[in-house]
Amino acid sequence: MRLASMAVPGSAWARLQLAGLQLFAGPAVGEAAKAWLYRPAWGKPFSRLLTESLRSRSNAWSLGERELFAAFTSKLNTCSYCVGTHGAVASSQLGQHTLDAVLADWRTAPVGERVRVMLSFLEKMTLRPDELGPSDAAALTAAGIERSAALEAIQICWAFNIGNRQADAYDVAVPSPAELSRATGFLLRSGYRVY
Amino acid sequence: MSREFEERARELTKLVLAGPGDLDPEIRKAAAAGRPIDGAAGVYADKVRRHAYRIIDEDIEALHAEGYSDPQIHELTEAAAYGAALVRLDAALAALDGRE
Repeated sequence: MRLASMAVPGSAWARLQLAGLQLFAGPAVGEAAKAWLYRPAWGKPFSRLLTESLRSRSNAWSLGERELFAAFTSKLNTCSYCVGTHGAVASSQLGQHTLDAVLADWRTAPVGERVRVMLSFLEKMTLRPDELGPSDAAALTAAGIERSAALEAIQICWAFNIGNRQADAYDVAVPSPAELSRATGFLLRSGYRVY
Repeated sequence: MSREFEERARELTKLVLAGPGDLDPEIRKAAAAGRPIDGAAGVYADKVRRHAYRIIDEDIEALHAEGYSDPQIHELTEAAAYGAALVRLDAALAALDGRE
């Protein structure tokens, strides 16, 4: 971590939480948690908003599609940590080929039209928000994406536009493949209850 | 995303930009909005907003050299990140609502 004081949380309770996460989820989750535990009054509500966006029980998007949106946003922001961790979960649900294809070029990737149009919207939201307009919303509607479904994807994109910047600014370590596998298993088993 | 999410996201952004902290809220708000900030803090906030992956250790060292503490740098980082995300959220919601 770039901020030396971020390496060890300030309160005993936060240190206990971090120890638990590192024990059960491993360093891939534990390292990111240090950024949130640094100031729990800010980090805890953010962590909840982020994890809720990924584990929504609505049928709007599958878990794999939600994680694909997270990894895709992270790729656009060039955040290696988040591409690794959330790409690993997306890959476990959709397959490595699909993930790789979307991250390489979503326009030609083997995904349904609904996902492709949503990715187009999220790309503009992340890279060129000034260009978003009613025609982009109309494209969502034409693809059969209801407003509530679009809002759920937008929530993921909002959360990762913060999380990507945190991970890169604080220099959260990019996990090894073994650490990613362990973190993926923990997230799926726990239902993303990291905080 | 529900109306509840939007309210929580805006409330959290408000807390980060104007709530109790070690860094002057005016600097935090400037970092979020992309307004000029003197010295290394301005350079750093701009990097967080536009391309955080380019941040290097020397950026933090420059802030330390100007007297910024770790908690202040943390607040500056968060403010710039939340500001960047808010611009995107507002643009997305405006598009859905049919606003240019």
